Parts: sequence; structure tokens; C-alpha cells
Amino acid sequence: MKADGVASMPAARRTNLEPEQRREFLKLLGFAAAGSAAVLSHPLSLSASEADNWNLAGVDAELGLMLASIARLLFPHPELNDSVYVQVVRDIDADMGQRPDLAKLLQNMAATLEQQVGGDWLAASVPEQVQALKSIEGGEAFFYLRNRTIESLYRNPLVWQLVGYEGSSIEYGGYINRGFDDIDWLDS
Amino acid sequence: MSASFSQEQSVVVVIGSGAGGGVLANALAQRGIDVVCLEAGRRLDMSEIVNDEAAMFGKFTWLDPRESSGQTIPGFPAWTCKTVGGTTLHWTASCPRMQAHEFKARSTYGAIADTTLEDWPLAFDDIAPYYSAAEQLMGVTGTHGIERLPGNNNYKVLEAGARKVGYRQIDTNNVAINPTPRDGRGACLQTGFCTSGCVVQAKWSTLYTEIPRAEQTGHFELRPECMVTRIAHDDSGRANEVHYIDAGGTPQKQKASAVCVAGNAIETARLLLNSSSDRFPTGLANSSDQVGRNYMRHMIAGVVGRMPGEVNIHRGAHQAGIIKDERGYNPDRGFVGGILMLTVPFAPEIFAKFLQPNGWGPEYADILAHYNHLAAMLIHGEDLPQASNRITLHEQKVDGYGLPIPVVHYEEHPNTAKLREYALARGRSVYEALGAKDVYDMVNVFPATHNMGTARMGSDRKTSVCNRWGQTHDVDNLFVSDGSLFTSAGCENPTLTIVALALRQADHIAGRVGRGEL
Ligand SMILES: Cc1cc2nc3c(=O)[nH]c(=O)nc-3n(C[C@H](O)[C@H](O)[C@H](O)COP(=O)(O)OP(=O)(O)OC[C@H]3O[C@@H](n4cnc5c(N)ncnc54)[C@H](O)[C@@H]3O)c2cc1C
Ligand code: SF4
Repeated sequence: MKADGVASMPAARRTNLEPEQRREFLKLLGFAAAGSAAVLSHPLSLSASEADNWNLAGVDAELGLMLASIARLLFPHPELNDSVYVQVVRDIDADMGQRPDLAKLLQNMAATLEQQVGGDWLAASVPEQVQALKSIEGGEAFFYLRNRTIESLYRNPLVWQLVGYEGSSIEYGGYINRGFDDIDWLDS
Repeated sequence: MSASFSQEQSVVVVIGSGAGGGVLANALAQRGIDVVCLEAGRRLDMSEIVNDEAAMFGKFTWLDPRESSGQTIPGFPAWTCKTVGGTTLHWTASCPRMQAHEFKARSTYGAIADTTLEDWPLAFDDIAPYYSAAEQLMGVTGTHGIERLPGNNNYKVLEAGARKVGYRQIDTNNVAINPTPRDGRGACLQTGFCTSGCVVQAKWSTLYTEIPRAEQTGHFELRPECMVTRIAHDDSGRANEVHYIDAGGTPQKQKASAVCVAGNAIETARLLLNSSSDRFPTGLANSSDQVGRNYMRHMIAGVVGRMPGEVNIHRGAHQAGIIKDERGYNPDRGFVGGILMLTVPFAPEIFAKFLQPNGWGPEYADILAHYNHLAAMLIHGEDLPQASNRITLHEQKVDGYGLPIPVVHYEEHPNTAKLREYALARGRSVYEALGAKDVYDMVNVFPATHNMGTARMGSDRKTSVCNRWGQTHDVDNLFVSDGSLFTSAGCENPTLTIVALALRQADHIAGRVGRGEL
């Protein structure tokens, strides 16, 4: 069988790294240093000028920043660099090409949220933002955003590395020789 | 060599190439009976099968529109496949036999209000030899000298917790997955991608077993991307022609000496209902008004433990782990019907979506950040047949083929609700016994994976659609060959029973062909 040849490959993608190794590893992959104060204290550390360079078709810089910040509020992983959340915005932008009603849905949502926080979304505090999001929880826009954020974020190999999901395994011969039964904390 | 039949030649037409259709078609072709298999889906090349759930979902899932009501996932009431091999590309290959008493559900459980519970028109002993044949055909572990799979991490957690709470019947399950190379198929490499299609073919699927084998007989022709729209009959009421739309969108007709429908319960009922005529105004074989009714799908719920150490749930065969202690008949628990608890993994995306269906925020993200600490089981429980749980045709909406779309209605019976609460509590206790930091339920979040009962077998033609051979009461040469036949659901995954019934039906049909009756 095709897979026989790869069964003996070394464990290339094990995630049980030592903490120090893990930090280095994550840095390599574009993660911010885990636990860094700057990332924890504010959900998003991007500026409007950066957003201008995203080159999106249907999402302008202002909405883009807001969507990225919402994505981080929905699934905040302090270790993740903002770029991972910007990818969510890119995916939403691509959806807009397919769904003519989407732009309007999100613009209306943005207006509602801005009103809730009294104007400038990015200037609002995290608790204010969270409160505003709670108020739209049952709506179509929120449903779309939660789902889209999940499908973008948790299909992203960078996020897989973070949470310990190892993705496609056949090219490494599966886990038959790479820890499918390596659990060590159960007493026998 | 694959045969190629003229549309004017009367052959046995099998509709669907999944567990039921694929097995039946091959069993007939092996006996020299000419078979055309019409399959709505595409034939995937093995090179298209990859370890990527999202990509495979797009390649083989049945995405034609369905509507639903009651306790269903709106618009996606069931998870089935539209591809050569049907849902056996996607399944996890758990193959327990049904228990003897489950074939006598009505006499064992007694009368239960608001159910249409009946005994099967056949007993365990009638099906036992076919179970045995099915297990050998599919290579089921723990049967016929085939060793069991080794347990993965998720299994080890399940087993350890189960022992702590006093369960004893725990093993790596009977699965149609090769522990060592067998039957021209590779051994399981514990890749953890069973629901994406098995790259090494360790997991049985008709795509690379029954279908190519049938083709080798010279008595079988597969026509992929051919959606059957109607089964027509002659003046005497015998099925004589199958109408379909081919890959190019052109309507076609195939003459038939017999027709066997294995479209996976919902589509089977829909096709019979869509085949109404002057003679059968409410649908073909539906004089009983039972076509589409008594739809069962098992109570399915997930229990997820956030464990004190790493589990790495994504490594290894999905359902190679089972607790069987709760599967028997035990009315002291306050309900009838049995329960199985099986290992199940999910990718991060699925946990994110369903662990809490509206979950978000720091605490939720923290659970997901500990993905590698999660252990999970899927609980299966018997649900009872109810006339009002049924498949009907939408009055206005049609699909891309111009066919009225199916509407699936399902409401949980009070017995099922009690079973579910009990099962969830027992499932939670398994992980709590090992010091889980938290345990989560996943209830009412999954589309149905097991679809049963919509053209059920019975001895009374007023309350059933088919007899004990799966032959419809109304149309002599029309057969149903999938889970639609189930009189009651048992608590076991249904496919081994579907395959056993298909093999039994093949013997019956071959006998009738031999006697010149078909
Ligand atoms: C995620 C998942 C996991 C599962 N795991 C297990 C398991 O571990 N154990 C188990 O026992 N079962 C399992 N099942 C269920 C199992 O897949 C089904 O019981 C089995 O495949 C049913 O066989 P079938 O022949 O009735 O239908 P299918 O295998 O679904 O085949 C039906 C075929 O008919 C075709 N078709 C339908 N209508 C038409 C038409 N009008 N014209 C032409 N073709 C048509 C479809 O395209 C399809 O290919 C699982 C299901 C899912 C979704
Ligand atoms: S875990 Fe085993 S059976 Fe499942 S897909 Fe991988 S190799 Fe196939």
C-alpha cells in the first residue's frame, strides 16, 4: 500500500513540546509570545492604516477592523497574532462575492453595535463591546459571524498548532507508530 | 469487465450503491444475474480522498435541498452521502449485531402509547447466518477469528472511566476495519480520518469492495451520476421501468425485471412517494399509507470530558471503543430500549460549533485551546417508531432535477427523552470518575446519521410496506433494500443489519429468478 513507505517516518508533528520549545515554535509560526501583556490587554492591536493595505473587495478598512476585533472577541486566544483574525475578515470578504445580501447585513450590524457602544467601536472598552455583541446574539448577522469565524479560525493550521490538532496524518503514516495510544496519565 | 446493458433489456435495477445497494447488487451479479446500479453520485477516484474533513464534506455529502421540522437540524435533518459507495465512504464502520430481543420489540417492551411498535417479521435466528456472512464479507473485528483493533487514547480513557463506574463489557468494538491487511485492503494506520474516507481502504466501503467485484463478474453495470426520478409500472401493476436523469441532465429510461431501492431511508421513501400513478395515487407500494412513516434515527448525543491530561482524541480509528453494559432491556431504568456508548473524535471546528451551540468568549475559547485534553463519546439509544415521524413531499419546492424535495419531521417520544437523560448522566459519570475538569453534553446538534423505518417490514400489510424479504406488499417485483426496512431500531449502528438483510434478500431474489418468477 502507498502508506507503508511513510509508516516509519519520524514523529514530525508531535505537539507535546517542552514549554520553552513550544514558545519558540509558536513564534516561528507567527504567533505572538504567549501571555504577552500587550495582546491580553487589548483585543486588537491593529491600526486603520494597516487595514487600508488589506486590499479587500467588499469590506472597507473600518468594517474590516471591526470584524477582526469581533472575531477576536468571539474566540479570544491570547497567543494568536492578529493576522489570524484578519484572515477571518478575508474569508468574509470572499463570502461577499457569493452572497449579495451579506454586505448590507454586516453594515446594519455594525451600525447597531456602534450605536450600542456610543460611536467608535474600536475606542470602546472590551466589556462594552462584549455587552453590545450579547445584544445581537440571536440575530442572523451574529449567527453568520460566529459560524464563519469558527470555519476560518478552526480550519487554520496555525490555530491547529496552538490547540494541538495535527491535521492530515496519512503522509506521516497515521498514528499507528506515532502516539495513537501514548496516553500516560491514566493509572492502570 | 464491467457489463454494458441496453436500456431495452430487462435487468434487475438497483437504486443506490451504498451499504444496501452495493451489497445486494454484487451478491446478485455473483450469481450471474444481470444488474444495473443507478447511483446519483459521482465515482471518486482514490486519489481524491484526502485527510481533510471540510474538503471531503464538499466532495461526497448529499447537499440536495431537504426541509425539516420538529427536533431536527433545520434544512439538514440527515447526514448522508451522494457518491458511489454512498454513506459507506463516510461511516465509521461500527458493526455490532442487534440483540435477539430487539427483533421482538413489541412483545418485549409491551404496548407503549403513541408508538407503532411491532415485532419484526423475522427472528434473530433467521438473520444470524446472514450476520455471520456480512461480518466475513466486511471483515468485522472480533468475529470469525479477526483480531480486534488496538485501543487508542480516547478508548483508553473511555475504558478506564467505565471500569471505575462499574461497567464490565468494554472493548474496541466490532468494526469493519482491517487490523492487518485482508481481502486486498490495507491495515488501519490509525490516521483518525474515518469520516473523510479511508485512504488505505482499511475501512470497508462498497466503493472499493462490492462495486469493483460486481464489475468483474460481467453481470453488472454501474451508472454513476444518474438520479432516479421515478419507478414506473405496467398495466398489471408490476414495476417495469426506471426513469432517471443522467450525468448530462438528459432523461433516460431503463427496462427492469425487478427494482430494488436502497437510497437511504429518506430518499427511498421520497422516490416511492414521487412514483405515484393512477393505480397507486398515494405513492408506489403505499396502499398502507406507511411509506415515509415510522421514521427512526436513534437518540444520538455526545458527552465530552475535559480531562486532566492530554488525550489527543484525533489520533486513531473513530468508533473502535464501546461500552455495552447498558444495551439490554432493563425497564428498572424507567424506559425501554438499550444504550451503547462509543468513542468518537471531533476536529476543533466541530467542537467549536457544537460543544455549546451558541458558545463564544474567553471561557469557551479556553476549552477549545485545550482541544488536546478532550475525550468524547457518542451515545446511541433506541428510539421508538411513531406514525407522525415521517418523510413527506414538499408541496411546492423542487430540487435541481425538478423533483419535489423531501420534508423530514421528527419529534422525540417521551421514552427517548428519559433514555437520553439517563444515558447522559451515565456518560458524564465515566469522565467524572477520572477527574474531568468539566463535562459537556452535545444534544440535538447532530443531523441524523442512522435513518430507518420508512418502508418497514411487517406481517400485516395494513401496517407495513414490505414483507420479511423486503418485497413490497403491493408490487411483486419491487424491493426495498436499506434501513427503511427496520421494523424497530434497536440501539446498534444499523449497517451490519442492512448488509445482512441485503444478503438475505439476494438469496430470496436469486431463488425467484431461478424459478422464473422475476
Ligand atoms: C458520520 C456517519 C457515521 C456513520 N457511522 C456508522 C457506523 O459506524 N456504523 C453503522 O452501522 N452505520 C454508520 N453510519 C450509517 C451508515 O452510513 C448507513 O447506515 C449506511 O450507509 C446506509 O446504507 P444505505 O445503502 O441505506 O444508504 P447509503 O450508504 O447512504 O447509500 C445510498 C445511495 O443511494 C443513492 N441514491 C439515493 N437516492 C437516489 C436516487 N433517487 N437515484 C440514484 N441514487 C440514489 C445515494 O447517492 C447514495 O449513494 C454512519 C453515518 C454517518 C453519516
Ligand atoms: S483510522 Fe484506520 S480505518 Fe479510519 S481512516 Fe484511518 S486507516 Fe482508515
